[in-house]
Amino acid sequence: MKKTTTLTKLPAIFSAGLLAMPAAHAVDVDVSGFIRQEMAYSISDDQNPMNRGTAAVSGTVPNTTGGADFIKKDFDYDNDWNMMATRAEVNFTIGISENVKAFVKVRGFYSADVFNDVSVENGAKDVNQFRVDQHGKCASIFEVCDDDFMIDLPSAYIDYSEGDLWVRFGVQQIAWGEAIFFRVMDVPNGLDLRRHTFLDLASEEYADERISSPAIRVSYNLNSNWEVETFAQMFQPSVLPQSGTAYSIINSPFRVRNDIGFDKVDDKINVGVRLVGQLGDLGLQFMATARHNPDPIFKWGPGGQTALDPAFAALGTFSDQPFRSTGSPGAVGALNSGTYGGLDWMTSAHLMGVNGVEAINVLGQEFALIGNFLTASGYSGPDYVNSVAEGSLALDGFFTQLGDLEADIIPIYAAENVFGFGANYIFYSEPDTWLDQLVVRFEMTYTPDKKFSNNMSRNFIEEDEWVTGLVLEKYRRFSDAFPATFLVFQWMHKSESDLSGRHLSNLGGSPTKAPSGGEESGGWDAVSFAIQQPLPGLIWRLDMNVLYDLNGSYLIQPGVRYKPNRSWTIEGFASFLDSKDNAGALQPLAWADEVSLRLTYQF
Amino acid sequence: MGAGVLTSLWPLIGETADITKAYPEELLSIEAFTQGKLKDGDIIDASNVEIVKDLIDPIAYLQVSQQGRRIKLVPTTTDATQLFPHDYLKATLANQGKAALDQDGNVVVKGSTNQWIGGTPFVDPQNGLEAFANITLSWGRHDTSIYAVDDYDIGPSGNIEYQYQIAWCEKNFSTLVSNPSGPYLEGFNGKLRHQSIWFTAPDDTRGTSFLNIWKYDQREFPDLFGYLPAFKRVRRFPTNQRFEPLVPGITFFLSDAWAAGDPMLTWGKHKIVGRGPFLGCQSGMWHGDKENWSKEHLVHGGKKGNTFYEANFQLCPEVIVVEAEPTGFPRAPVSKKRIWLDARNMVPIAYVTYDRNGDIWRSYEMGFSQMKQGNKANLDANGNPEWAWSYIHSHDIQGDRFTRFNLAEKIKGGIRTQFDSENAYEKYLTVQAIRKLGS
Repeated sequence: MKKTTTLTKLPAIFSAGLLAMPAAHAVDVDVSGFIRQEMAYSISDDQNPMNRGTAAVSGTVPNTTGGADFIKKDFDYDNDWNMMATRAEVNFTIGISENVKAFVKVRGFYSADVFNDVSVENGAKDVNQFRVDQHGKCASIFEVCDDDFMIDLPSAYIDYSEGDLWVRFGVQQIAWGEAIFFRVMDVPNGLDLRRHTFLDLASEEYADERISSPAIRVSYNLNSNWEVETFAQMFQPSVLPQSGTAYSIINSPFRVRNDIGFDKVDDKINVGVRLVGQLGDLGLQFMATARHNPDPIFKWGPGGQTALDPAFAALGTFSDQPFRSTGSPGAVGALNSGTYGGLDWMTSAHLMGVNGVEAINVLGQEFALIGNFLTASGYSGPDYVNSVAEGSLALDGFFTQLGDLEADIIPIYAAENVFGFGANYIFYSEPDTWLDQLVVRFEMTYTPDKKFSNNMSRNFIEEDEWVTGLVLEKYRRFSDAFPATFLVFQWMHKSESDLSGRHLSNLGGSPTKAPSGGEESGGWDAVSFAIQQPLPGLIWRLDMNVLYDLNGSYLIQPGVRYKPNRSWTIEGFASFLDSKDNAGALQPLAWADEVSLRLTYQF
Repeated sequence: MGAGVLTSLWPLIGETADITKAYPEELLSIEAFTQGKLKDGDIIDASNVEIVKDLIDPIAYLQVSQQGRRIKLVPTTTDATQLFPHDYLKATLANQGKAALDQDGNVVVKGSTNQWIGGTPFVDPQNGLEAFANITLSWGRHDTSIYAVDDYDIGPSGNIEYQYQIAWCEKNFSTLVSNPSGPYLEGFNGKLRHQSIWFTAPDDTRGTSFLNIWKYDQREFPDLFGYLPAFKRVRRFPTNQRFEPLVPGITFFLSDAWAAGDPMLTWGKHKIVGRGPFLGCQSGMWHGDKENWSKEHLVHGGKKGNTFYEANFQLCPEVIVVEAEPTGFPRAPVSKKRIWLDARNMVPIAYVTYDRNGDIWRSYEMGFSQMKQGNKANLDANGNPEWAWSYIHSHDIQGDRFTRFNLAEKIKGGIRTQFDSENAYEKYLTVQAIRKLGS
């Protein structure tokens, strides 16, 4: 088993902070933590269509050129468990002096071998859940990982405070804004979705997912009402669920070249400043960040399969274009692990929010060999194909010659500036009315010239994006016997993209129809509603969370939490997802109906 | 009607601090009061509690008579200096007679609109609102207090089901008594106090923090900000849910703090319903000789022998019994609270609440003590023994859940009990501070 250790920078960070420690001061260390078993059992007949073992299209795939149909092996894996994991977290709270404190959280996560997919790499039934080619072979800078486990440091920082000044130096999460789950002003950090995507308890928001990195964060109280805060943080990308894992959202034949994409920005620093304060009863926030967006946009990368260069020399250099034939030397994936046929292509592309027709045109425009191939096949550029039928025919010609194909895509982390404004206000009205003590929060961000994936083109879509969020919160007692019910309604609007940042113009395609761009008009909207009802003593708590995307997808998550004593906590929740079509923001996980159980022992 | 039976209490306190002449012997000695049936040093238990049934609140009576609680009788404190922090008593004496309620019901300096200038505003309260003002304006009788609290929560089984370590900090911006530049802190006009509560253990609650910003106008609800570790950020919360436990298993509500956890004018129908002697804890409960000021050696009673502290109760010669109703909280599960205020120092030595059916629901018993034990003492900046609450018994008799707090010297997170520390505001009482306390 190969392990990669990237902890070498930690001592340097801490030794710098410890210089501030008075020699005679006794260091006070508290250790706490928990161990938890986490499991998620599928309650749906559906399987993840992005994985090769349960691919959206398999079996006999029609060849529209009139040649022999394509035979894409149907593995028909049936996974009952989406997750079976053991998590341990150990926290060290270190009092160094009156003004200097440190905190270190070590997180270990082991994923048992309950989920099978066809390994793209070797065809075996195993999956890599955690290795990511960013920092060495792991995602974050202080992480040890392998296929089935990761150990990292979500927090490892030193706090220094003196009067109105507070400085936090080290590995940390930074969360801004007040909207929950809908990330409007919460722009400093990306998300690590390798463990349970965002299908953990919705009421926990992104506590486990928000990915940390080394930073210096400085806050200063200007007076009793206003605070200014700024940060400079090492760029750390979001981490998508790995290909072939339970919650993968990237089609398995794609190899994401993190090594190329991240290397271009691994030395970048994201910076931000915000002003937070009260103006009478009105709470206000203003923020600006200059960052590389941690959420990647993708473009095609050269496949590098030189073995086929001679055979295609008449059309150009084969290895310069993105595809590799799995049946020829130089393929990364196992034989028959690729996309096979126009129907497969269109189905998978439209599931992912890529316009399968335009992606062909992009290939023709940006890669000489493919352009030449299309021209030789009778298509004229720059818009070589204009429909799913045309595109499928062209593709089927390609697949006929090459067999099933895999490809490289490169994540790009575009530079952008985000400006934001937020406000909150608590209404006071006649006691016992719905308006009394109703909390209203509003947030808005503006990102000029934001870049979006453009069907894998190197020429990204570039548009100004506005994101707004409105939150209404209310505590209300419905009976004397039960504590107050917590009710939250949220609305989010994004002008150009959906929840996960996919440009709206590329959503809504189907196996037989390309996206029309119609999803773009009016932007993207979603509402969420959450109810939290503790029972007397707070020993039991009932949760209900609903997210409804106005494009037609939803997540419903009822849950229950039982905390019988100090040491043990049991949580059960179910996630029901669906989407009426590929326009839905939750379509990539629409298959993932599941029941989750978490059993925690804390010490 | 004023405090004192034989003569007015407060002139005596002002002259010699000795209250003896204000009350007859039978109100200063439990032996005299019970005609020899009980004496100092005796233990009240199920066998003799009937003798003092009318001198303890109904839930304390239930605890002793049915749940194995024991209470130790100790002499009545007659030296008033042992019943206050030094500076607070000094301010109370200096400002006697200067307080008035304005037309809204807020306390002002008589003949002006100025906020109160420190100490107990109404040493002889003439109505329920004045009595509540005495416990609301300055909770801990210090300008700044930081309490390190060991919490034990006992369930219906009698087992300790939950344990928390809780830090509590309160800082007044007006009614100051130890501030060299006067009773108000510059830059905080219109504010009464900032108060925060945060949990340092166990792991799943560590970092949970709440900041209350109280306005001086007692008609207004405090602003409430909270840091929940799951959210990694400070959010503003509505503040009218003050009758809920903050964490599982605990029976403490924000509304309970000092028996005056809500702005006093958000309650109504304040009234004095009685006066007379009562038993309460006013001395000898600071255990500076024990590691971390522990009271574990005093734990007893309940189904498993680990519910109550054996508290020192003394005959308090005069209490003022006051009641109020939560008129500003129409959906509160409480219909009424009743508080027994010791006339000597106006602290709530007993406090019970009633549910919406009028049935008794919970008690919140605070034990107070000068922080002096033999030759050990916790001293203020001027060398005077400190004074504070020492333990709390909070009992939900309907849910059969019991919470006890011990005021500890320190808890996890490096929090130490201390008073009038200079930098408490920046460290614990701002939005920035509670974000920093989270992790």
